[in-house]
This record gives sequence, structure tokens and C-alpha cells, in this order.
Amino acid sequence: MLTPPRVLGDSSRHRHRRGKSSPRVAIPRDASTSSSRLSSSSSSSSSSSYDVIVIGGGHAGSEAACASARAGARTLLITQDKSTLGELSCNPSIGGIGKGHLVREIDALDGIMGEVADRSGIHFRMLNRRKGPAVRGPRAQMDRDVYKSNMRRLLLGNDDVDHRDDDDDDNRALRGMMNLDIMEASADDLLLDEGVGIETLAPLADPSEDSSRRDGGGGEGNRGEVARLERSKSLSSASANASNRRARIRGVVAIDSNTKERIEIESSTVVLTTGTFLRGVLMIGRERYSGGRHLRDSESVEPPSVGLALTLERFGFPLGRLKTGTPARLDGRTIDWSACLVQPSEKPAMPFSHVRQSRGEEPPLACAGRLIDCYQTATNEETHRMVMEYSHLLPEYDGMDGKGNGPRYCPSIYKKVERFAERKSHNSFLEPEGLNTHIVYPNGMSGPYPEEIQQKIFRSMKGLEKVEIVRPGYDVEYDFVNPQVLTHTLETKSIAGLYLAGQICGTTGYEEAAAQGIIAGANAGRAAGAAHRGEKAPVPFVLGRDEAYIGVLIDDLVTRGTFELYRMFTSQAEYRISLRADNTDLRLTRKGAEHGLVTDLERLTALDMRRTLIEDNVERLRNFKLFVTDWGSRGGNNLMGGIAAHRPGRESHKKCAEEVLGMPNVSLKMVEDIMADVLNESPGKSNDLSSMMIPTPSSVYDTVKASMKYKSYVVRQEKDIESWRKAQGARIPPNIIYDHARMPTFSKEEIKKLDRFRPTMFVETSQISGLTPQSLVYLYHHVMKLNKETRREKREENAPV
Amino acid sequence: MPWGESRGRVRSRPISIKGRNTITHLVVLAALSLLSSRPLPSPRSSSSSSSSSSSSRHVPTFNGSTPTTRTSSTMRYRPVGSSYAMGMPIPYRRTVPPITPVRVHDSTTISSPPSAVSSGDDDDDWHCKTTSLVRWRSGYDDAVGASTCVGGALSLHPSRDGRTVANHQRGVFGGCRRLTTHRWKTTITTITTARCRAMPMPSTSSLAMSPPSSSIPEYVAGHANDEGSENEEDDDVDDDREDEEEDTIFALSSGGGGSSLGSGATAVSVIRISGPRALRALRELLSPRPSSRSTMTSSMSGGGEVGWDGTSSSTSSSSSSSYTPRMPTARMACLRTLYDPLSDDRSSPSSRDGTRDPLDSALVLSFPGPRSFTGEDVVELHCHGSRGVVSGILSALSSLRKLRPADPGEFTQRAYANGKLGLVEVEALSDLIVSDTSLQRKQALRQFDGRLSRLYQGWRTELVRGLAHAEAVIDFGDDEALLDDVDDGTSGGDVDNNDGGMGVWGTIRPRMSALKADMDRHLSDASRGELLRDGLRVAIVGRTNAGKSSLLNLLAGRDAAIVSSTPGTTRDVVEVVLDLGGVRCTLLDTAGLRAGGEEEGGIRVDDVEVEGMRRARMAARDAHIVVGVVDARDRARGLEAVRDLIVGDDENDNDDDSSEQAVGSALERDNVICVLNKLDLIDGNDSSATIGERSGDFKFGISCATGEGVEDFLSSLTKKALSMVSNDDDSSDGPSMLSIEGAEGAVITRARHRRHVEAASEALQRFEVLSGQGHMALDVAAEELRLAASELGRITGAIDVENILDVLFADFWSTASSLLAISSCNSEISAVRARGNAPNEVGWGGGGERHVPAPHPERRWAGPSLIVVYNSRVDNALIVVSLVEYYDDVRVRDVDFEFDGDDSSPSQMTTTMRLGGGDDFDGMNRAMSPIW
Repeated sequence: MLTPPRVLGDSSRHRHRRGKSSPRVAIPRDASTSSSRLSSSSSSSSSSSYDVIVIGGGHAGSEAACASARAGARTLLITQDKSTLGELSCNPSIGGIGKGHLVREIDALDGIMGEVADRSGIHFRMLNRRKGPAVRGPRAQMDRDVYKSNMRRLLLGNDDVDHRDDDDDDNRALRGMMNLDIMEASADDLLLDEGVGIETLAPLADPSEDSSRRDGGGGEGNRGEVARLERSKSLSSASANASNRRARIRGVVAIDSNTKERIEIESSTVVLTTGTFLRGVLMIGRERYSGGRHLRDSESVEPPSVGLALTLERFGFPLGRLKTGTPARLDGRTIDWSACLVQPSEKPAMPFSHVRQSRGEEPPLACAGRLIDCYQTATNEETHRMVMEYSHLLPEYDGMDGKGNGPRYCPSIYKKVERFAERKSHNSFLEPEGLNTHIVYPNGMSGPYPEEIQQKIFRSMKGLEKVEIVRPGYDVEYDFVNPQVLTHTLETKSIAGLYLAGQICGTTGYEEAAAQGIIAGANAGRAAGAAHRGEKAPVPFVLGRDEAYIGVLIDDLVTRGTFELYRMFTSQAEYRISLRADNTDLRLTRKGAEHGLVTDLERLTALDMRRTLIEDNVERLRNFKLFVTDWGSRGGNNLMGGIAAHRPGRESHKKCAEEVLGMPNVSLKMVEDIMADVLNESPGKSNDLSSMMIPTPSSVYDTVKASMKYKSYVVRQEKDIESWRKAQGARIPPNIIYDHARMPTFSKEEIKKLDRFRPTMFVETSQISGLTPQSLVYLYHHVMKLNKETRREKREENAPV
Repeated sequence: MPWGESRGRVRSRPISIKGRNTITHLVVLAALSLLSSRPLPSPRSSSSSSSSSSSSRHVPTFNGSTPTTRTSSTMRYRPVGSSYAMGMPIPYRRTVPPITPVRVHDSTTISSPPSAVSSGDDDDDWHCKTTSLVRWRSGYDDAVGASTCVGGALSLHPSRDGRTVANHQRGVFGGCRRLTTHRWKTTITTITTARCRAMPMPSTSSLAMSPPSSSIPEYVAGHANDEGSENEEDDDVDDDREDEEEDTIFALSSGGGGSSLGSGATAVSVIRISGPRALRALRELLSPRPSSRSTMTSSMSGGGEVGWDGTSSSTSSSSSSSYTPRMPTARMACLRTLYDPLSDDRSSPSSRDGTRDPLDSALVLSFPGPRSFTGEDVVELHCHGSRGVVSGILSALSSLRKLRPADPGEFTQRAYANGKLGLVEVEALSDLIVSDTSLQRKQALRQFDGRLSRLYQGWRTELVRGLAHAEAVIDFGDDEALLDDVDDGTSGGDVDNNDGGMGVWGTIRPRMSALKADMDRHLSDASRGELLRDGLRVAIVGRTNAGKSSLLNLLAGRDAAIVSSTPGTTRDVVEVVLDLGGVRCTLLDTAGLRAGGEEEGGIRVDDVEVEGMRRARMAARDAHIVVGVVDARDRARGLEAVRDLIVGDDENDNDDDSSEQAVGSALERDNVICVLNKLDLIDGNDSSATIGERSGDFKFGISCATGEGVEDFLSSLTKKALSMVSNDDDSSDGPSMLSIEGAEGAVITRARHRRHVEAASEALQRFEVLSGQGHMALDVAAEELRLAASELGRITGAIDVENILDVLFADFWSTASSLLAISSCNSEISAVRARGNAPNEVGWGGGGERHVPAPHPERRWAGPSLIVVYNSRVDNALIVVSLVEYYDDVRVRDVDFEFDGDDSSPSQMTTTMRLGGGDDFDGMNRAMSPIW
């Protein structure tokens, strides 16, 4: 049963904690040797506080920081080590099926991931190219170093990046991000205003529990229990219900990475992107050591984040353990490449960035055309035998009774062999990690066996007989927060101003992390920026399931929660046909601009241009008409005429190119060829020719083709979307009375919950945990009836008697 | 005299309606006659109340000791108190809240608390109206015994077999011996509210009518203070705690028995109790003496009311006399004596040793949840079926805390809510409950046992599997090499040439095609299942005086229609429902056709007859089977008339040639049976000639007068009817159930199911095309599978939340197909049966025998509808509210309306029948407001 979170009457412990901390330091002087920007601004006392502090510099963190900065908020990014900004901790690739959609969407919102990936890619492929435009996923492999330096340059500006190469005149890259400061420190705790000025619900806790809390208040040892108690009081609740919050972010306690000084930085919002660092434990074989990640290919590890985990626990955030793993890195010089299948890059490569598309630029930029090949090898029965034989040497995890709660869709080699016992072989792609390195990433081969076992296993594979391991693969197990405690803006429901994004929310993958980052950052930035400027609170920037994969991702997370690592798939998007990778800019850029998230004029111009071109092309196809018989004779009766062309009385029937294109096997190219032929044959219309045959840029071509092919589906989905929006957006009258007499079909518990949260819209109602779908429907009816009743009453009042 | 008090207080007068044709009476009415007509006796003056009740009326009482032999001639109660203008329902919207708790001030007056009345202008008036339709959710008592007993809940249910008019009398008339001080116990709603609550979802009216609970406490508090209940606070606390739990509901769940509406007693009645307190209630009934804290009704001397909470009482008031009866083993039948907790304070403890009156010796079954019908704790009491026993138990139950009479359909509703029944099963259950014939029953049972659900779910599973396969290819085919050999080696090992798993269709396509074939086969049987469920309409048409009404009467086995030699006797459509070989058939006797100028027997055709002929045409057109009756003495004109009626106006307007053809072939239509009547009157009627010889071209020759040939005709008609509901076209052997069952043993019984299956089949059709394409197709092909799966999901309710929203609009309401008809007035009352499907037509037949055209013929209906019949001849309104089960173009059909009163001549009736769409409660309100 859901009870409202209790106000923590006992904030003394927290104050105590603060008291222990060092005197408040306005700004970390010389916080980072390399941070000239920060140090230079540190002299000004005004920057002793920030609008937004982003904790963590991974994919979610950097995206969040940039989004926040773009939204106009003074933003501080706290990372343990600047040199790890933009680190690709696992496989060196960006995009993929479903994930490629996310990257495109991030780019459409002026995010940085697509841009950096375009600059750093060394191998590009469009996955699912032949399965239909809706499910195509652009994917690119990165040069790890280049990706990192590009990311750092984008965040910090050129000054901070020693690795300068080639291009280009992009101003943004040179000056770094406006409004953004970066500091090397590790966040230890959050500063909170608890229960002060925050509307809270009356505590419903029973007295006995209260007293136990008071008893245990002082002792740290009791904390776990208290947290558990509080967790049982579930935080899942209606969304953004301000009255439900019992604390507000005031700032962050951080420990400077260089001086080890404890400092407090003020801020009204914090975006927490701890990735795998929250109480992270690394494992190889039976060996366990705490850490969030290995530093690149070295033995040294980055320390985990423990203080934050305790704070989250204290606030009753439902924490769980997840694990993920990364395979060993191989020395490419010891691989027999000739024994492997070559998988070349596609040419021309399709960039992620819409701006680059409109410029007609083609990645890769990093390697100036030097695309690398990947190779494919496979496991064999011997490999599988060893995988099973040494399985007892695998780590014991905290989660799932020691088995560990790992990624189902990116399983370790052990999992694969165990699950698909009938299979004799699994493919593995050998992906070179960069242009200037010999290190190779063996995709799909993660398995934290002891190092020598890992080597044995690899050496059983074709082409890897003599392979040397550069750094053994390892697993990491870490805390995550059940994302049901978040609203759709990714703000926590219990602490105002605290946002979570990335793997802390139970996702896997760079792209998923960045997608959350951009939403959390944008909302944090907009809210804090507005507050700082004294404006009224802005409209939240939320993407719907019908608008973007990002919307699907976040909606899935916050409404259903996740109990295993969440990975984006196209099948999760019910409006998949409309949410294609080729039209992300059409879907999102304008909205992003309206919310102040897209500021790049070039991007907006590119959007307008593309939109115009698409419309022109559609118009052109719609206006070009031929007799059905002509279509048949030119394009083949099977394809374009069908039986209809020969049906009596149909000869004089004309069809436009659009209709013909709607037929299953007709491609845009065929239609255009016929159009060109026809126009050529009628010289009298040659002046039309030029206007009819505008050369179509490939990016436009794809969208035109897809939108025409999918027209009927899109129309149907739009109807669905419309009804969904209507249902979700339906308002619940504020004076509604929840009681059993009126709602006999509701359980007492449901009525209680509804009465407590008093959702104003159905979209919120659907987030109340424990409300069955049936009840939702009942409520929907109930409200519709009420509305009718009210309307009728009004009519009657107005009508003369 | 303990029971005397009860008698004095509690009066109920159920009203039974005897159907002229019993089958058609599905629904029952009952009336709170006493309530509406009698002063309420004061507890302190039970003698006076007795005297006031000593009028000549027979009043059923709770213990059944007063016989309630209701004659069919009197149904009228005269208001006793001036303030009782009986039978007038409360307007939905007036200046006063439509429903308020009612406080009993004294023995004769019920008034509402001042706080709840916002306008004083017509208080009195209003109060009486309230009381006339008052419904108590329960009633028991506060400390003082301000005992007034008013009424009881009255909710009605169709009987099991659908035949009895009055059936469940769930509410207990007079069950409340005292007025309670508790909020929930004082809830009084009107009958209409009861009806609305019967629906599975909260409805407008129930909203409108239930007072905000906040309006009650003042009254409650005041009342409680009056009585000086010292335990008030305890009670409140207790209540708060108990608010957590659902009400426990109970009802007489068997037909007959205590219905007390004419049918009298049965051997056994089953009373079902469901809810968290079911077991406690059982314990209470099994206790031969009150336990210390278990008195539900505190004795007057007991110092205040004490919550009934049996053994789990929080306070340890350890009266040593507590007694815990031995509870029956779960799911085992035990014979036990039930005791009446109500007798606690009737009998002075001292004189009676505190023992309770026994109620009955009953078979007791308990089903602890979740292994029960509703998923909650369920108790079944198989008691003797006399009115006295049943009403005694029901009133005992209603006196228990947190127990209230179930609303119609509420058990099923809870079963659905608890996941015990699926959507399809709920529909089946409602079909089963209202099934008229053996075939309908069998069909409903087959659906109820989940066969249909399993079929749909099986299809859906198959679809989802196919979809999952497709999605796997999409999401993994190219990417992480998880499914890298899904494509059956077609890629030839060349990664770049990998067809991305397109070969996957190789396995999915044939399976999907097979699935589609299954669906199509199922669809082809579809209308049969629906026909069987809804019944066939058989129209008897022909010239005037051809003997149509005679035939109808003959088939019906009673004088349903007036027969005379005067042409044009039948002017309206008379309906009789028959069970033909298990198929429910509605026979429609229609006005005969004759030319406007014809004058036979000195009777000219008047406007009424013309209208009658028009209706005859309509009936013929809508009928599934047309029986053309031809007078053997005038075959040509008879046939012509039949043709004319069948072909209808539209076709007649066509040019002559085609019309000729149409007319010629009209009689050849499969569903037309021509019968030669009056064989006995034709020349050469010697017994040696066979019927065949005498009837010439006609397949059937009969004589309604002698009964000759009727047997043959009836069996042919039966075969015809069976053949229409079976998928066995060759009806020569008479279709068996086997052939009706269809291949999967399950047929589509509802248009709703058919719509979704059709949509799924169409999606699969498109899938076949798309999956054959290769390029550009995988994503949309998967989309089609997704669509097909979601369509199937809509049938069983296994769909995503967002879909549920619109499903429910269309579908779920209709699952409460129970028809309820409730009325209360001091006189004629009625049964209404509303069910069925003649599009654009509303009929009301039976005693009234008149049609009321639907006010909105164009309107599509969905959901339950409402019919209001208003009898303006008398002062009191007759309100019949019914839930009409409804899908699509089905309209109200076959409304039987009969009067029990001796003097209600149908011709004097003014009728108003209005129909409102189910999803449009405005309709309902509109329908009601003119009357009130």
C-alpha cells in the first residue's frame, strides 16, 4: 500500500553531516589545474552558485550539461577527472537499431552526441537498411581517442584540449560551451532544504514507526533500516505533485579531486548521472574491488560514489543492483585477420547530424576518408565448452541471488552459451578501437573470467589463436534507482530540483543515457534558469511516446519502472512507423526551438530547407498523373498496374505518382524514372521539366519515399496518437469526489490513492502505482459522465425555465 | 411479540407481473409498495403501527407468517399519510439534492435532514417522493432504537431461467429495524440509484443521487448525540479502519424462493455472501447466542451501539459469554442451524437466556478467497426456499455491519475485477443467465467455460509469436548477431549480403496464413452464433382473415392474439416467443393486408389499419423467417398479399419488369414459407384426400381450426430455424448441436467479437501481401501483425491501457446485460423486457400492444439504454428502467408490457417511451425529465 512519504522531521542528522563538512567554500579556487575557465570566473562571487549542477561527465552528464547550458542556465559539470570526459567505457560505437534513432533525436534537439560521433567515426553502417525505413538504425564505430577529444573540445573549448587536429571552423567547438563550467571533484552529498517551505502531505506513518525512527535517528547503523522502512512507503506516486516533495535541492557537497577539500556549491537543481559509479563494484573472476570503472585500459580504477548512494537511500529511493560487463581488449597485432570475415564500412556514410546532412557533408571527419574495416569471427564448440567449464570462476553478484541482474540483450558469452545451448557458434565482431591503436574490441564476448581463462577462451576462436589480451574484461555491479520515482522530466518526485539521468535509472547504453541527459538537462536548465532570472516556471520539456523514441524511453522508465537493464528497441515504440530516424528533425527540432533548446540557426535553416524540399517533392509526385494503363506499360503491369489496369472501364482512370508509389513493390526511383521518361517525351513541356525534376538530395529522398510509402499507416497511427493524446490529456475535474459510493468498482486503496494524489490529468493517473487498467477506464468513464452532467447543468441553468 | 414489531415496521409489497407469455418476462419488477403507501410505525407505538397496518392489504412480512397471497387484481395502495404521494420518483435535478439520507423522526414520517435540503419550497412533497422510492443500503441500528423501519433495498435481477417476473429481492424489505447512525448505513438511495448501481460502472445518476458524504455527518452526529451513544467514538474509529475494506455483499442467488412475487416458495434457495466479512457474517449466523461484542444491533440497554466485529474486536471487553461457533471446513458442505441475530433485542435476554431464534437449518458452504467465484471470501447458504426463511436470513444479514445487499451483477463484477472472469466470460455469463432455450444455454455455456476465450487467446498468442519473431529480426537481425542464424543460412555467410533475416518470413507466413484461414472459417459461422443468441424473428404475414392470429395462437398454445372473423382485427404486431427446437424464436403476428377500398364485413380500412399494414411490412422485412399464410379459398389473392408484404415498398417502386421478377422470386426466397390455411373449409374436404393433395402447390397445408397439418408445419419451421443457426446447410436430418458448434466448438456470438475478428483477418490479409514483398516491408508487415493482435486482444480485454479506454466505451458496459426493471407505484405495474435487435424499431407489445417508434431512428446506440414508460392515466408514475443490452444496430425489441391490475385497459394508457443511448446519459436524463 502506498502511503505518502513522511516528512523527515529529523533533519538534524543531515545538519550534523553538514556541520562536519568543511567550511563552505564559495568556489573551488584552482579546482582544476586545467580549468582556466573556471578559475578565471571564480574570482567573481556571483558564480559561487550555479543554476544547475550536473554530477557526472559521461554521456548523460555531458548531454545534460550542454542542454542545460543551451537552455540558458549557468551550469557546472562535476566530474572526477576531466580526462575521462567523453570516455566510451565499453564498446567504441554509437548508434544501432533503436539507438540510432535516439542519436538522431538528440541531434535534432541540438545535442552533442551525434555531432561528436560524426567527427569521430571510423566505420559507418546503416543497420536494417533492407527492412524498411522505420527500423533503420544508423550506427558508427568511433575512434575512442578522437571521440573523447572531440567531446572535451566541445565542452571545454580548444584551450583545454591538447589533441588538436584537422578541421574546422566550427565556432562552438572552439569556444567550448557557453554557460558551462567544469570542475574536477567528486560529489559526495546533496545539500537539501528539508521540509522547509515545501508543501508536504500530512504524515500518515503510525506512531510506533515514528518512534523507532526517532530512536534510530542518531545512529548511522540504523540508517539501512530506516531507509528500508521508508522505501516500503514507496515513492511512486502521481507525477509532478509538488505537494509530495519533502525536500528541495540547495546544492552539492563535493570533494575536490586535487585538493581533497570538501566544498559546498549552491544550486537549485542538480542532475545526477552517476552511471555505474553508485556503489560500484568491479569484478574479475572471484575478485571484487570497489570502483565505478577501469581507467581506459589500465589497472587503475575510478572510485565509486558511495556518499550519494547513502543520501539516496536515506530519502527512500528504491535502489537495486544491476550489473553489466565489458569484454577484454585484444591486441590487434596478435590477431590473424586473414582468418576473419571482413565487414567493410558503408560508403557514402550517412551522418548522424542533420546539419551535416543538409550541408551535404559526409563523415568521417576524423580520419579524412580513411574508413576502417571490422572483422567477424565466431565462437565454436571448444569455446562453449570452456565457457561452461570455467563458469564456476565467474563472479558472485549481489543481485538476483548471486547471478547478477545483467543486460538481457547484451549478454555475456556465458549467458549466451547457457541460454542458446543448442547453438554451436556465436558471432563476434572484432572492432578496432581507433586509427592509431592496435587495441581491438571483441563485440559480444564479455565474460569476467579470470584473466588467464579469458585468454584461453579467446584463443579457441578462429583468427585469435595467438591473441594477447591488453586488458581483461570485467563486470561492474552498481546501484540504480527504480525510475518510477521520477516524473517525465526526470525530476525526482520526492526531492524538488533533483534530476536523475543515465544508467542510474536502470538503462544500458550510451545513447539511452544521452537521451535522458538531454531531457533532464533541458528541464533542469529551463527551470533553474527561469528561477534565477525571476521568471515564472517554464513549461516542462517532455516528449511524448508519439513524438520520439526519447519519449518512449522515458515514459517506459518512469511509468513502468525497470527491473533489468533497459535498452531501446524499435519494437517498444508503438508509433514506430511515424518515428523514423529519417524524420527526427521534422519531429523535434521545431519543438526544441520553441523550448529554447535549439539555438543553432543553421540547424533551423536546414530544417526549413529540408521541409520545403520534401513538400515540393511530395507535391510533384502528387501532381504527376498518368493513365493506369500507361503506368502499367511503363513500369510493368505486375508492379504498377496490377489487374486493375486491365479491368474494363479502368483504362481512362488516372493515377498520380503518389498513388502508384503506395503500391507494395514500387520504389521511388522507378516512379521517378518513369516521370523523367514521360517528360522527356513531351518536349513541349520542357520548360516544366526543370521544375518537375528537381534533383533530390538523398536525405530528402529517403523521407519522401518513406512518407509516401507509409502514408496509410501513418494516417492510422495519427488517429491512434490522437485518441491516445486525448485520453491522456483529458482533465479530471478538481472537484471530483472520490468515494466508494460513487465509484463502487474501485477498491478502497485505489480511492484513497486517487484522493490523496488528486491527479489533474489522466496521464498522471496512469502513473499512480497500483491502479489497475480497469480502474483507469472506470475513472475515465466516470469523469466523462461528470463532465456531461456539468455541461447539462450549465445548459439548464442558462436556459430560461 | 417480537415479530409483531417487525411486522409493524416493515412492509414490503413486492409486485409480480404475470406475463401473458411467460417466456418473454425476463425481468422483474418489484415495488416498495408498503414504503410508498404506508405510514411508518413508531417503535414506541408498535400497537398503533399494527393497527395502521391492519388494513385489508396483504402485506408480506419478514417472517413470512403473514401470507402474502397477492391477487392479481389489486396492486393499488392508497397513500395513507398525506405526505405520501406515492410512486413519484425523484427528479434528477431539482433544487434539492436528489438523494439525501432520510431520518426517521417518528413512526410515520420520514424526512430528510435539513442540512441536505437546499430549498424548502417543496420539502414535504419531496420527502414523500423519497420515501416512495427509498432504498436502504442496510439498516441497522443505533443505540436507541429509533426504530423505524423503512424499507429495504430493492434491487432486481432477472431470474435464472428468465421466466419469472419477479425474482430477486435482494434488498430486504423491512430488513432494517432501526435506523443506523453510521454514514454508510444511512445511505438511502432511490430505486433508480439502485438500478444505476447495478451497472458495472458508476453512472451519472448514481453520482447525482448519492449525497456527498459530507452532508450526512451532521445528521449522523446529531442523531447519535440524541441517543447519547457513549461508544460513538469507538465506532468512528472502527469505521475508519473498516473503510479500508470493501463492502461485503449478499443476495439471494437462486431463482424463485424468496422472490415472493407470486411464484411462492421453492425447496431450496441459495444466498450468497461475498466480501471480506463474509466469514464473519457466517460466524454470526451460526452463533446461537450473541457474543459479547458481536451484537450487531446493540440492545437498548446495552449502552450504545457496538460494532459487529466478532472475535477480532480490538477492545478486550471480555464478557465471558462470548461464543465462537464451529465454522464449516472450507469448500465442504455442512448442515448447520442459522440463528437470527436480530432476535437479540427482541427477546429480553433474561427471559430467553440470551439465545437467538433459529432461522433455518441450512447447508452451509464457505469458499475462502481467492478460490471462489468472486475471488473474495464467499459464503453460500443453501436454505429452505420459503419466503419466511429467505427474508429472515436476508434481513439478518442486512443488519450486520458492512454488509449490504448486492447490486445486480455485482458478484460478477467483482469476479471480473478480481480476474476470475474474462470479458468474454462475463458476456457469456450474462448470456447464460438470460438464456431462454437449451441451445442458447449450450452456446453460452461453451463460451462461459472459456472455450471462446481460449480460441481468441490462442490466436492472439500465435500472432504475438509471429510478431515477436518479426520484431526479433528487426531489432537483432543486423545488430548484435544474437539471431545471426535466424535467416536459415540464406545469407550464405556473406555478412554484407545478409538478407537481414528476411528469410524469417519463410516460417512465419504459412502460420499466419493458416491463422487467417481459421479466422475466416470462424467468421463464416459468425452470424449463426449471434442469431442463436439473439433469437430469430418469425413474421406471420398474409391477407386479412387468412388465419394468421389463429396460427399464432395455435403455435403459442394460448390466446395471445385476438381472433375474430372480422377482417382487420389485428392491427398491431403481436409477439410471442417460442422455443423451437432450442432456438429462441419470436413469432410476430401482423396486421393482414387488404386494399384500401376493400370493405369486408362492413369494416372499412381506417388509418389505424393502414398503419398496421405498414408495420406488417416492416416486420416481414426484418424477420429472419417469413411465414405467409394464405386462405385456401382464395389462393391467388393470398399469395399476392404475401408477396406484396415481403417485397416491400422500395422494391415496389422499381420499374415493373424487375419488380415482377422480384415479386416472382420473392416467394422462392429461402426464408419464406407459405402455408395454406383453412384446409377444412375448402371443397372436397373429405378425409381421404391427403393434406398434400389438398394444398396443391403449397408445401404446407394446415387447418388452424382442426389442427390438421400443424404438426408437420411446426416441425418444418423448427428445422428451418435450426438450419439458420447451424452451419450445417443440410438440415434434412435436423442439425445437431455438433454442427452448431462449429469447428472449434465455439462460435462468435456477438457482433463485437465479429468486428474484431474481421479486422484481424483483414490485417493478416495485408500482412500476406506485404510479407511477400521483401523491401520496405518488414516494418509495415510487423505493423499489421501488431494490429491484428491488438484487435484480438480487444475481444478478451487483454490489451494495453490506452486501448482499454475505447474498448470499454463500446463493450464493457454491455456486459451488464441484466435487465432491471424497477417500479414502484400504487397501482399497475409492469414488466418490461427490453432486449434484442430489431433495428430502428422499438416495440412494445403485450397488453399495450402498441408500438412506439424510436425517437431517434438514426441514432446508433451503445451501451445500456433506458426505457421509460409513463402511465398518465393514474397519478403515479410508472417507471421502468431497464438496462438494455446493446450493441451496434440492435434496438430495443420485444418490450412486453403487461398490467396486473384489473382495470387497466391498455387503450387508456398513455405511453411515453424514450430511449437513450448508452454512452449518452443525457439521453437517460432527457428521457426521464419530462415525467418528473
